[in-house]
Amino acid sequence: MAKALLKQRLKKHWSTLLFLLPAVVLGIVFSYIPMVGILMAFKTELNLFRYDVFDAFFHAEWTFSHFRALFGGKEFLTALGNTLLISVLKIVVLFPLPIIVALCLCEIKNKHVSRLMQSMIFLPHFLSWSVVTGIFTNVFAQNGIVNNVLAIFGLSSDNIVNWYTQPGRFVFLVLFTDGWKGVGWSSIVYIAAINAISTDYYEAARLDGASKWRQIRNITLPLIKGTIVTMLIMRICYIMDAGFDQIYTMHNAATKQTWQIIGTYIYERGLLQGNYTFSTAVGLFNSVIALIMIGLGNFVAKRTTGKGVI
Amino acid sequence: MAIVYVFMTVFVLLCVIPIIHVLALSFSSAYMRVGLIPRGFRFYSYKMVFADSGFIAAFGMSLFVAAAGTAISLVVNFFAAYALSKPDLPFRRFFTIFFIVIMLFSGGIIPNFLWFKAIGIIDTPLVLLLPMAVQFYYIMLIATYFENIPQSVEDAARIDGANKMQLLWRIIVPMSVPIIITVGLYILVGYWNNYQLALYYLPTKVKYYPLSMFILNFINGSAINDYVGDIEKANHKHNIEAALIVLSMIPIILAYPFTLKYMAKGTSVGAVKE
Repeated sequence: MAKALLKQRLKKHWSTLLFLLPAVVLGIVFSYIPMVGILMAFKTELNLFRYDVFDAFFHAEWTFSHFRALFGGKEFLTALGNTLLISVLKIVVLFPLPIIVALCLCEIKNKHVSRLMQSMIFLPHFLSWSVVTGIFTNVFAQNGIVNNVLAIFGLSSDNIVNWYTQPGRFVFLVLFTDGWKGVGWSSIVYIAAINAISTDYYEAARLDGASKWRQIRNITLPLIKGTIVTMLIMRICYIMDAGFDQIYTMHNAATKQTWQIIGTYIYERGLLQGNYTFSTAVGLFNSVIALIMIGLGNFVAKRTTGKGVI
Repeated sequence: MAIVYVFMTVFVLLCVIPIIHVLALSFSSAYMRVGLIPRGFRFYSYKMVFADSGFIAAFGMSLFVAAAGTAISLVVNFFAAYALSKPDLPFRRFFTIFFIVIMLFSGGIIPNFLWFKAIGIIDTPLVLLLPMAVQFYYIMLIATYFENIPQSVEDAARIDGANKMQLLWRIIVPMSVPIIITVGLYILVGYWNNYQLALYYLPTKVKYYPLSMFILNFINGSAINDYVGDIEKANHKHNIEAALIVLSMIPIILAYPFTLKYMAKGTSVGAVKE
């Protein structure tokens, strides 16, 4: 029965399947074949002076030493710690902000004002990290606007500080610029969720004399709880990604030492220092943990909200 | 109520002031004490940027990558979405998982690098286009849209003797203009802003750097050599950098009204549907 059905469907859709061809070919060439290269993580370092890549791969010995070295080495553990620290801080500090922004924005009843505000807070999301870091190296530069303003308030001891080269302030800048770029845009999901709530609830509450604050606490928040939970789980899924694209642009000689994350560590050890197989091992470790997190997150989301996050 | 307006005003200002500040810097002849209005207004910084042949090349490369990349990626994902939107497509689940795996897992930088080198696309502009062409997220966005196009429309066209290609081109494409624009903008912005592909896979060909990577080099001081011996230029490095940043934002700002119109709508539709 099922086989006959498949035959029927094949007959009907063989030409439709052709439409998948470009995507499947690109997927195989640019994603699946390189995945075979992960085997390198279990090889000793390739001798690329003597052989080309494929021969070097076959001549290298199988080994688990990279994974042992990972946890023996201070560098990797530091990078792992930094990754988790930055991710957790981003979640704790930045996750609630878009919800607050959405709640406020939905209280502004003037459509024109509201739309104008939205257009301004969404904009940073569309700028590249190189541009964002370019903007803020100027804003926070030695003689930049922030230090100038601080000087006006008599905090001029900071006037000689370039924030970007100060490892101690690096995390602050990471959080600040990530918030600047993302908070406005992230609020869009919550704005949509709040706008989907029927106005009847609020009218009934108003008749009962409920204050604005009570309305938010007892109507809005419970009704957007599902969205909040889904977004939080999704965010936690990606905990192993502290934001390479952001942090690479912000690194300089001073901060690189202290604030290496896994993404930048893989890049440095692999492409810059040529430790190909070791770097692949770090990457594999990272991908596996990330995949487990996503799988777990999806499972939890299905249990709590009845809908997966993938 | 007042607190809402205060909070939102502060937040909006925080979002906008850095951009205005950079704009002011780019038109200033000084660096110190520039706020939101240029000090010593002049076009010097822009002249310097345009005199830099590296900038022209990078801008051109970004335009090329954004245009070609968007075209390729849009067509490929659109086709895939069309096929996956058919509920009775054979092996539909298999192909869906095929694309999910691409989204969630990758070989990593080094396996990619070595493979791309083996097939000869390292240090060529192709490496900026192809590796990020297939995106499951966009396939899903388009496929969800297709599911709302009634099957009867297609059946009618087929009875009139249209083949699959004609059907897609004459019926489906005209009916999907909003989703094409929405996803197209996503892809466009993604290509324009991407610097990682250039960072990883253009190890020696600085001349193929797109603008995003060019700016990064500039900020990190790799381009500083040109400034030795030209004191005027060296003293205004930050103003020139600001002009460079402003110029690279222009395409994003130009596309922004469309982006707001289509993208915000697309995202909210997706969010409410649950």
